[in-house]
Amino acid sequence: MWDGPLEKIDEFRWRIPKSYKNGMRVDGIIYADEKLMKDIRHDKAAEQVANVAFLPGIVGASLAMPDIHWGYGFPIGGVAATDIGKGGVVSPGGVGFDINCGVRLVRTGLFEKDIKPRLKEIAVALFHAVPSGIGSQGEIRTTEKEEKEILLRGAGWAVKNGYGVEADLEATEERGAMDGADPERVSERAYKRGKQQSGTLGSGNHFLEVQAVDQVYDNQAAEILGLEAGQVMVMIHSGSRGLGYQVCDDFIKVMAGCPQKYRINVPDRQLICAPVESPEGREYLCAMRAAANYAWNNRQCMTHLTREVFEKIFAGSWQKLGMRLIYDVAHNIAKIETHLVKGKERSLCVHRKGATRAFGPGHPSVPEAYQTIGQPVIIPGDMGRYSYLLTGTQKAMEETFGSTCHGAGRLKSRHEAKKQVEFHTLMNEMEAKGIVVQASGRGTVVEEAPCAYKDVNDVVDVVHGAGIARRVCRLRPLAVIKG
Amino acid sequence: MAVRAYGSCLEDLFESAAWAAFGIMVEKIKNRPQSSLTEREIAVTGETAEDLLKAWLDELLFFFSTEHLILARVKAPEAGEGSFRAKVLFETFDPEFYSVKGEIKAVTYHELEIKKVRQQWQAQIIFDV
Repeated sequence: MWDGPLEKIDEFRWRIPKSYKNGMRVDGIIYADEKLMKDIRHDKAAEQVANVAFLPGIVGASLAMPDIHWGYGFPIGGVAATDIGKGGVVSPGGVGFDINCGVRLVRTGLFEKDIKPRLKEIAVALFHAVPSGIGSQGEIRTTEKEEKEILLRGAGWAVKNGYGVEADLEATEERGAMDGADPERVSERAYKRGKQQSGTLGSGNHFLEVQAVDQVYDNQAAEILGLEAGQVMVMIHSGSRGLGYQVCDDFIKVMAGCPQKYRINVPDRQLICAPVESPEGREYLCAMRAAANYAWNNRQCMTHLTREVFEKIFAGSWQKLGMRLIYDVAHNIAKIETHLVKGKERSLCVHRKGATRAFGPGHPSVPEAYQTIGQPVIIPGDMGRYSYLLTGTQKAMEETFGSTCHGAGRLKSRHEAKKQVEFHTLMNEMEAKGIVVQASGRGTVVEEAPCAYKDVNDVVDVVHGAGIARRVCRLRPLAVIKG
Repeated sequence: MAVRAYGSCLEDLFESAAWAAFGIMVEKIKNRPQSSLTEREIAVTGETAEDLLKAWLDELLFFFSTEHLILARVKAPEAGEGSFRAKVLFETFDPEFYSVKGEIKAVTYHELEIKKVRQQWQAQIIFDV
């Protein structure tokens, strides 16, 4: 239970004043309503919001989204922007181990009634086509030279090799590859850990889901996105696998001497950081971008494998089946972006750890097709309830450096969930809801039980209510594939 | 995921922590008859006992994720000033004998602590899973 100071700003925002701890450079602001705040107070996530406020160069506030929960050093669901010109830092822990963990949403022209009788068949086929992790290698094999190309070109590598089309890149954040990636900054160990993992899902909270549009809230945006109620979607949630974990770990070590070297005072070793304009900061960003590109390629490869499954089952090309990528977002990343700070344009390093970019209408980074509605924001929920598709807003640009929540947010630790949830009971509940589950282990399924998460409806109510994202539609799971 | 490991000496403590890590990742479903073991020598250095423990677990995690090697036995562990070494015997992952329980992404520095309580060594380790 956290009993630090929380001042209510309005219905959806709470302030941790910078006077709370000596060393805080800015306030902490948590987006939540009364109900979610009760859960947030249960762990030490709010203390971590205060700790992030120590980062040199931090501007605005140390922000937390309503899906915030306890992380390692940085909270998950946190946003921190530092001013590069004023000694602003970059922190590997502010991105997390799973660099560019993210989620993409592929629409189909199919409707729930078309696939309902073949749901089990689809789930089994997807489970076998999209490998999850240990013992299973990706169907898409790559040479050492190709791995380096992937780190440079990201999802562009997959498209070049026939695992996607140009329009997929158009509908991916950063067009599926960040500039400034340097494969030479990625260690041999990281290469080895990521080897043969292209096109693999991973385990933990990663998943592939077949979903149906359950409710449409914004008809105009839905029309532009090509969605209507009952339509079938595929959501893929995955990241940079072993390669990204190792890049983060390597740079926490590389930066071990930085607090002394640059006279930085942070209250937790996991918050270690270096100025963006320092050799350590620059090298981390080059390696992080390479890992991010690896993740985008990974999700693109899985999209290809998914399309192949649908082509086989429904005997038609994916184009004919209308399997267009709606969008792909990163929710663990640091980006150099321009934002207004006290009315002036500043170049900032925006850390989003368990937070999604949510750029509003008209922003040049938003694809042309979505210019009038803003950037699509994909919010995966839990396997038994819902997920959401939202859009970014101008208010998010003004208040949260163009950021919003990233998911439901964990409520119970994996250990607690395992103690409380019985596998067969959970499977019966899922079956009663008409949801097919295909997973390699029971452990991962019970850890991801709906009761282990906050209700994503509550989380989305807050970001929509606060105006830092706008609801477009809600998605209901039909088939869940887990590593 | 937080783990607390115990040992009568640092060598024991490091071995307990290693078993805990593999306990998160895999579960033995049946014994493998006369399985052939792979031996690796692991030697790590670090300024503090915590650094050494993290480096040791990092090595084991690396062997698991790159070669799918699972801890079978720790031989002749030796903790010295700023160093730890051991010969480690591993089994190779085979889904007939092991099931995968989960993935450890990394051993974090967050609240990583080793202390001696009465005659026993204790370590707290938080894994990112």
